[in-house]
Amino acid sequence: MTAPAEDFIARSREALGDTSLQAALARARPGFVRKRASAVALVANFDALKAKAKAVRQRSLRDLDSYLAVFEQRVTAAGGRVHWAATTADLRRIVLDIARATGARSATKGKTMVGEEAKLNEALEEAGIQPRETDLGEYIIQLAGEPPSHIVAPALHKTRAQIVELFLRDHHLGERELASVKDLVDEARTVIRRHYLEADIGITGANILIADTGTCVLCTNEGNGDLTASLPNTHIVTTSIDKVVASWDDASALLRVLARSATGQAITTYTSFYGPRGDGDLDGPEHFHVVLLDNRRSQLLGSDFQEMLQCIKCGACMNHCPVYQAVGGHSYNSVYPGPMGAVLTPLLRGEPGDFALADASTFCGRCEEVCPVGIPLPALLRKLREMSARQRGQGPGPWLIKGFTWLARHPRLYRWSTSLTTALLARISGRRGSWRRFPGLGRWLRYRDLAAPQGSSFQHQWRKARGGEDRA
Amino acid sequence: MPDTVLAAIARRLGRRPLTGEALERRFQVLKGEAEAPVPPATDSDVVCGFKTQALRNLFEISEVASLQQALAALQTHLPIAPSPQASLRHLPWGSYGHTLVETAAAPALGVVEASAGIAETGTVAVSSRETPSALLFLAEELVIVLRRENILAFQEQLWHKLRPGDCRALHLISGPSRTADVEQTLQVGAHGPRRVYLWLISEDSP
Repeated sequence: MTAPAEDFIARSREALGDTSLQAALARARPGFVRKRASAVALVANFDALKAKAKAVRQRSLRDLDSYLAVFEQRVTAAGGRVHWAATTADLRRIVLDIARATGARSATKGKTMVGEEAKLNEALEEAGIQPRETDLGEYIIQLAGEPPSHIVAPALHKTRAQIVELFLRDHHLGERELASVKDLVDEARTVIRRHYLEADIGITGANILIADTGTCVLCTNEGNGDLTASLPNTHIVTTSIDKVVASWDDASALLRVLARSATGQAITTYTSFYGPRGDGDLDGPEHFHVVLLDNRRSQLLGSDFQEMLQCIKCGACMNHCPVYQAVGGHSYNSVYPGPMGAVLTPLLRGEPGDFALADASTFCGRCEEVCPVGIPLPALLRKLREMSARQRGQGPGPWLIKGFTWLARHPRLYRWSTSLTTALLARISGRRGSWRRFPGLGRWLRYRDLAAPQGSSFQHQWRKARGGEDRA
Repeated sequence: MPDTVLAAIARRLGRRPLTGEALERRFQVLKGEAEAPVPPATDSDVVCGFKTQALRNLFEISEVASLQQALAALQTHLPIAPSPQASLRHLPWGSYGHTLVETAAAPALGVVEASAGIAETGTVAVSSRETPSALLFLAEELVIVLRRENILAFQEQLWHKLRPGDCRALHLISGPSRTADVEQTLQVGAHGPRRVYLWLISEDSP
């Protein structure tokens, strides 16, 4: 087994050498960035929309207990049920209990990241209930037997050729070809349409919960979430405790930044608001359940990491991250990749190797810049690095830094020692301008050369140039 | 122990979980603390802005004086058997040579009326009290009737007009169904309607 710290590095190295993955990433990379930029350019006050969305999320977290309690009260009053899942195991058990009680044989699924987090599909399969993904991206990766590599575009890592191959393997196509994207989408539409009509239960996630009326908001472009939520006799929403806001006005504030940040749309094609079915409704499931997952999120409240719970899962941070763009989502080995995943994964899952994800950042700050709810991702990553350094034991680093600060506080000694070192190094290097190798700097010099000192220090030359006048 | 999660959250926030009257009072106070809504900045008038956004969303818009006039157009442009929502079945479909189809597993053409339009995103709102959700998503093609007078500028205006949360489902629809899951290429006609026609009716409601 490789050491945990090496895992991300090892996976990234593989990802960098995977030509299909690199082709898929190269296609996705400019699209997301361009689409978001043009959507943002179409509204003159996007910064004000962001500030409002951030205020809504912060206000929601400040009184999360009250909002969740009201949410539960409203859902129950309207004839639905709210279930609380402290752990992912609880979530699996709750969903399976509901499914068994209805005698379900198959379940359609809209996209639910919480379902992924809890490995719900595996649990359903083991219980003899066929889970059928309906979001095209999720359907593709279900065929491939892979986890999602992006929270908005789960099959982002797949090229068209790979998708065609999966369809040829699993569908009975006869003579039909899958020459175009349209052919692929039509084929999936035909197969999945049958699944909708057969399903006994429909499981979806939720983008927002509204306390005031006990409503679950679902955003999709395909309409798959709505067919999943509307056709079967039971609708189960699996989501997390942090999703709740007070009112419909608050939901509007989030919707205004969500799609613009995620896919560069002003709004997703379908934005639907669901609750339990009442007497006046013309169709819809008889049974409505909401399962709310905690899985350590509550522990982030009041901690240094509370701001992470502001996240609305738009994916903008990963779309703009140079590390994600280079290595893709699977390198993070987590349901949540990219900068938001690098913060969430160690906090929610906390396996030893997860802390190394905080190192997967150049601290360029683009994630924070594009985050629609103002999460200071680089600062949170830095805190995680500090925690991880404390856990790991610190090595010689802190002693070296302490030594340096002591030296730097003694100017005379500092000048003397730096002139001595530069002179010495200049003597050793002779006429070479740089070193390819240097003792103790093996890995540092793998992709760069070390410039050789040229005989005197900067301070020395400065003094000389100003005619010996010493103002230090 | 259904409440342990909620209790843990309250504890982290330094409070005891509230219930009943106390919870309701607290919630009303919290709602009162909300900042004012911030709508997106727009410079065009409501109907004009609605149309611009709706076209961007790939709605196919026709402007007609009345519903009858729109029906006549339906015969020439859409020679498909329609499945109208209940409240539209009284219209004289027969006089235009159409046989109605009751909502089936896969209606060819759904015809529905939206309760409102929202200009900020070029969106229409349809509720499960007037229209079965299945009709909206199973139809191959969809006609949405919208009266001009029902176009609002911003989402919040709809929430205040509708008493939302009263129905099982409120759908905000912004064009035909689509996906970009294959190599980020936009493909219209994912699981829902492949084309969505929007009839903007200018006469006052009957």
